[in-house]
Amino acid sequence: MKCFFHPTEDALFECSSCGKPICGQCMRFEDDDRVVCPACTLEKAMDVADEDINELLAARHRMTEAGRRTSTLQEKLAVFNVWLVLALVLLIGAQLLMRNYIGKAGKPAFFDVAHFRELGDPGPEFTYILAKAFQYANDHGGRYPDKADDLYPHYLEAPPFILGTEDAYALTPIQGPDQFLLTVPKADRFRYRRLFATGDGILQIQ
Amino acid sequence: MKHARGFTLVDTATLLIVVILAVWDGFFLNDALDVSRRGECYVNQAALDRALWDASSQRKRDVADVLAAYAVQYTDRAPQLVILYRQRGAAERAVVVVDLSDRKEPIRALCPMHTAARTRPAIDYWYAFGKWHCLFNKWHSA
Repeated sequence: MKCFFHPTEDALFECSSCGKPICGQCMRFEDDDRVVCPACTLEKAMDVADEDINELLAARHRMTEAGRRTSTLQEKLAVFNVWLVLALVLLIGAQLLMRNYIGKAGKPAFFDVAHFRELGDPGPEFTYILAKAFQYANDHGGRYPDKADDLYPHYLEAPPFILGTEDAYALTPIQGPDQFLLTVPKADRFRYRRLFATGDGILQIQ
Repeated sequence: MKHARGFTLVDTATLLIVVILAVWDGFFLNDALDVSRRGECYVNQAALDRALWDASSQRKRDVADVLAAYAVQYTDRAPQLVILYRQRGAAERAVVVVDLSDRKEPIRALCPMHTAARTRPAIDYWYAFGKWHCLFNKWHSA
């Protein structure tokens, strides 16, 4: 019997895998000392190579997927400009700190009609309006308000009605640059005959 | 980290929020500064309170009878303290004017933060409801 791969040579063995007759040149040994032909050796080697390639492809696929996930996360982060977000956080933090600091100081002073009405006397409200009339004049180049209503809302928290009644305090500029007259109309209902002040800021009662 | 895709719509919205917050923070900062300077103002209020007590005791009036009081700072003369007493029992209503320049201790009749130029008298310190208030700054009332 001649060798399948070398027809001039006598066959010495049979391939343990495919049964082809093979000569001494073509003889190959498996790990378990079985004799196989070159074709079967090559086929097995190709199978091993295929498995390796598949493993490599799978590994590459896994890496690509992992890379894609990382990239998506980076893209999500990149939607925000980090400096702007940092500024946002700092501003919010600063505001919280200042709120806390201001909050410990209590509430700012605020005087509405209810405060004055409880006193039952127009004196405190009158002096408050007098102070606000001066403030108005200093903010307006020395010009006093034409009427007490001009003080509301920038200088007074409520319209200048006497203790919440329908009567307003009367403020009248008097001839001359430094004078005005602030009076309480119908002062007798509060047991005053007259309650007034002029540009010198001194209260006058009668 | 540098933005990879330029200035986006999200960045614009964030910037808008940052600007609004910055302006809002500015108001808070202003209030915080006002609050931080209350101590200097309280020194004046305490001095005025002592003047009020002294004036009342000299005239044998009770401080509890004070309806209102205020300090007038003039541009051309010494500041004055004006006190309005309520009628209580036999004691008549009265207005008392105290010259603050006569006091031993120096008294500033204006809030330390009140530095604007004035052409008219000014009243920053006002007493009512049993305590002094700074009308110049809402945070300076005890």
